[in-house]
Amino acid sequence: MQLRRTLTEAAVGLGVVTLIACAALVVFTTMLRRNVDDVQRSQEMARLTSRLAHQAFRHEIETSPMGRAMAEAQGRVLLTRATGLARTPEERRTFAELAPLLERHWRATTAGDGARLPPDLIVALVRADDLFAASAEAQSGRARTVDMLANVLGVAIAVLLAASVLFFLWIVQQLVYRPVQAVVESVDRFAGGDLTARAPVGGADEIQRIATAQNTMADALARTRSDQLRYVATVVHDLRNPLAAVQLAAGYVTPERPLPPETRLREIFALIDRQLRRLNSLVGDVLNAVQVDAGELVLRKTVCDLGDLAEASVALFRSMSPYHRFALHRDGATQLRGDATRLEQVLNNLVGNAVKYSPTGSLVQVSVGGENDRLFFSVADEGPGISPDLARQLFHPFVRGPTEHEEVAGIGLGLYVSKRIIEAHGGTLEAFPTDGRGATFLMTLPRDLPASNVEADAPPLASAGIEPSSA
Amino acid sequence: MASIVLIDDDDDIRETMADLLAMEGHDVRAARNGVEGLQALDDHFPQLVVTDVEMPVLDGRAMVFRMFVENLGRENIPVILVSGAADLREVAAVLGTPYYLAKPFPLEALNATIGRALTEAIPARPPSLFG
Repeated sequence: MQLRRTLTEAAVGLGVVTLIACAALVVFTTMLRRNVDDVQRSQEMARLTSRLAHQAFRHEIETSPMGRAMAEAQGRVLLTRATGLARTPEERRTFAELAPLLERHWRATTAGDGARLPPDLIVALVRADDLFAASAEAQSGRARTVDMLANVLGVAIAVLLAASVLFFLWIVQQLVYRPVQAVVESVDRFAGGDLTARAPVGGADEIQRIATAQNTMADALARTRSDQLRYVATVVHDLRNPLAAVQLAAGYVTPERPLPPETRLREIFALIDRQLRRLNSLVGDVLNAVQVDAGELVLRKTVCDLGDLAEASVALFRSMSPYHRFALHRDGATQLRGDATRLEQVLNNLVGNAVKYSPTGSLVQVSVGGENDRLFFSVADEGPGISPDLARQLFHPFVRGPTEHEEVAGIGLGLYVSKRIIEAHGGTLEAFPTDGRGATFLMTLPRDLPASNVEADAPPLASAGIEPSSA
Repeated sequence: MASIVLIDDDDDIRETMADLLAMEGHDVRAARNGVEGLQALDDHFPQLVVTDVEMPVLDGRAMVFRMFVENLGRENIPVILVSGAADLREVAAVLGTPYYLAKPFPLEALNATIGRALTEAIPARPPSLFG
């Protein structure tokens, strides 16, 4: 139910009821007023008729010609006034009958003394008086009826208005107040730490949309939280293996046993060194990813050469993996403005992955070049390749390619961080799924860094002790 | 002095543990994953299995379940789980083994657990298989 529509309908309904009440009030007051007028007129006519009878009688008993003339003149005035008040045909007929009788009476008494009030005039006067009295009584009765009807209608309209207001309040409570309160309660519960709290979707459409939006947000927050917990659990799990190796190595030197021979001791310390490097690299990866996730990826803009960075990276891995073959192709000008430290980290990640995920003796091909305002860098290896499924998830945190041995160290954050670094440079990083052997990664970069994410005075992130990342 | 099959995919951990257990006088066969572990169980019927949980190819869970597939007597060998997984206790409950060690652990803890497992010799009994 739409709140806007419901409220409009309720307002229109209340307005119509009020209008009807006003119109009825006007109609009834008019009717009552007319009734009162009618009663007054009937009473006035009855009074005038009485006075007319009185003047007729006075005309009869008056002895002086002057008195008779006065009575006749007053009688005529009264007759004229009463005739002027007549409205209904019956009233007019009454006066029409009365007028000639009075006329004859006045003439008869003026002509000769001792003329008596004629009986037909008396009868006519009495009938007129009765008629007007009855008429006034009838009008009063009608006024009482109208008054009663008005009372009944007034009470009915008052009840209707009260019911409408109550209904309106009920609708507001059901459609607005209760659903809003339910949403507020669920938000409070969520804020209080109950991540399963969801708002019931009910009430007006508008409120339902608020509840749905709140639930969507709660879902996203709960998902983020569970993702973070999984993130921490994964990190902790991956940190435990090198810790376990170091702690086990400490078991070689115990009070009960003689020290191992020197060659064994050297092996043990090499193991400890190796595992501590691994720990440091993992911690660096996590720190990198946390910085990227927290939006703290700040690039330091310098002029550098992607081709030189690629050569340095290939040289680094050539020294570390003498059993791999490397080929580097440079093509065109490869100068750009970007964060050299971060780009070096990405190149080392990509070349390092190619080395780690491909068999010894295989070829790692690196190409770097520039054309107009864009640069590209690609690495192709002869490893197991990337399935289309894996290609879709490869840049998500903690996703790693399938390996058959733990030698491929890493926590699954390298490509995630690399992609974010390249995107911050305004570039792209893609993996090409391959059916058979070998994987290819392609990176493109604009020659000039976009203005955002740049802070010239930012401290170099390399100072945080971050080592080349792993996939 | 017992014969032990040790399975872990981390070279340094596996070799160090194998070396240290050999120094304690045990007869240790090492394997890198569940498939190699089952092979080692076939070749040398040990008194005890010490295995990691998260491993490539065939993980510790699947390997312990496979120990029950054929009634070769492998199902009566006690199993010690060794892992850095946060849910190690739950994995141990699923596999029905009372012996597990969270990485990292000192050598004495490993020795103590091995001693207990050899004395009690309670084999793994996954509730899903044995009700």
